[in-house]
Amino acid sequence: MDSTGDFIVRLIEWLNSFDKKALVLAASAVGAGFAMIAGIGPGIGQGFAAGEAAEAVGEKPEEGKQITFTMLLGAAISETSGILALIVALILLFGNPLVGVNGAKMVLAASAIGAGIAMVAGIGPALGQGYAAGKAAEAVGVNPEARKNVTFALLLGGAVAETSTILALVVSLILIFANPLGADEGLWIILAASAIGAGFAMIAGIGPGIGQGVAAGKAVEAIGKRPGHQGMITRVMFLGQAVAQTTGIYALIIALLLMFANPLLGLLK
Amino acid sequence: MEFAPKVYFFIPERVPFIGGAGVTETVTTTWAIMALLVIFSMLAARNFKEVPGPVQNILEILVEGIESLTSTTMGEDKLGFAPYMGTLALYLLFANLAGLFAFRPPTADLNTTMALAVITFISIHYYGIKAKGLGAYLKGFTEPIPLLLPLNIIGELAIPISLSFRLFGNILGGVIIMYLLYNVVPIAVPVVPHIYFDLFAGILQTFIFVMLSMVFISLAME
Repeated sequence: MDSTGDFIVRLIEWLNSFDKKALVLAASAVGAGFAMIAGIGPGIGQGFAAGEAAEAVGEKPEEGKQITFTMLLGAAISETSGILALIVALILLFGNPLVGVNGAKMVLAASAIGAGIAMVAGIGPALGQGYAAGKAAEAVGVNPEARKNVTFALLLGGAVAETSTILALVVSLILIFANPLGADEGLWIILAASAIGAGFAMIAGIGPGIGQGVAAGKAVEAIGKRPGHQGMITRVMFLGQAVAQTTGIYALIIALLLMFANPLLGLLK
Repeated sequence: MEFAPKVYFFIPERVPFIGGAGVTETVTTTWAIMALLVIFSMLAARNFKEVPGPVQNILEILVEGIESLTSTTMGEDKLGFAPYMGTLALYLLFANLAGLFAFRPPTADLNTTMALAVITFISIHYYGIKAKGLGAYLKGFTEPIPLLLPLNIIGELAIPISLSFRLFGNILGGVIIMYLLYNVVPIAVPVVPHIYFDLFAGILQTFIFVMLSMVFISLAME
């Protein structure tokens, strides 16, 4: 135990010995890397959509164009989380504002890493939206006349499923552009840990993302079978998606608390 | 905080309650949108004829669209909500698209989105109590099991939080991304991201906000 404690202390002292700018930039590299993990989501989601679309085209070749269009639309929606993660990574690498901010260097470094970790949440929505896209492509193949209703429901359900990535993006952008922790008076280790904790909290967004996407996919399938009931189906989908969002909101609240109303600093006294 | 809205002037201290507050470009852009909508409505509604001219035709399509959306989403008997939902949709549409006209979108300010979400939240519970009576309404929170009461309450609070943050995050994200893009390449290239972030996301988020409000209010009244 002693040697681990010594190691950690020596590690932190070694990190603290670096020049502020170098440390923040190094941490930004790590953060950018973490952010790109979000690429898992669109990969799986779009692959599923492509598979379902291929199967649907095999069943009904004459609807090939419509099926492909629906699949591509859904794939574009699924791509959003990956693009937002890419943008955060690019900001950390090329337009990093944290180097100029006043504050403890370990806190700013931890903020860069936390901002990157938060974007991992993009996995969920992309997965869910890909599932919905696949179901939509299938539904268009099964019932081509319902194409407009199916597309409409896909857009609505997909947009709600995107919420978790957007919440993670908000936390990420706050840590990068409007960092509240640099100005706080308090032990830097608590603030640095809070930044990383806020990032980890947003990973919870994976769950609601997948769940809401599945809800959208099943709703789209149902609308394909019975376009006349679109209103009722959409309502139930929205209700379910709202319930699914709750744990993501818990995570957002914890992240916001850690950043803006940190209770741990008060406990220090 | 370089992405915060600019403050144009401060309300004098001696004004009660709001004295000392800053009036930001969020507020002034909202005033501009309000003026646009009110003046247009007053001018266009002046001379309604039996056989409509072109402007009246467009207005009728707009109003009928809003009314049909309200009655399909909320139910035939809830057509009374159509004016508010239509106003909300028009305001959000112009607010989200303000980025295309070099204004900072008022919805890129958490204050705006939270205010609209709070209106929805109050409507949900006010109309819920009005439709079901206070007793049955409160009892609804103990469904399906009384043990779930705290989770139900938090779930209700999650509605305005998710409504406001979803819209805020989408629009602010677009603002920041476009700003950074303009710093890198200010000509030609930003057109496509503008279409995606301002036009597509703006219209879609307007839709989502209005539809979710409609669904939650009508569900509370059942």
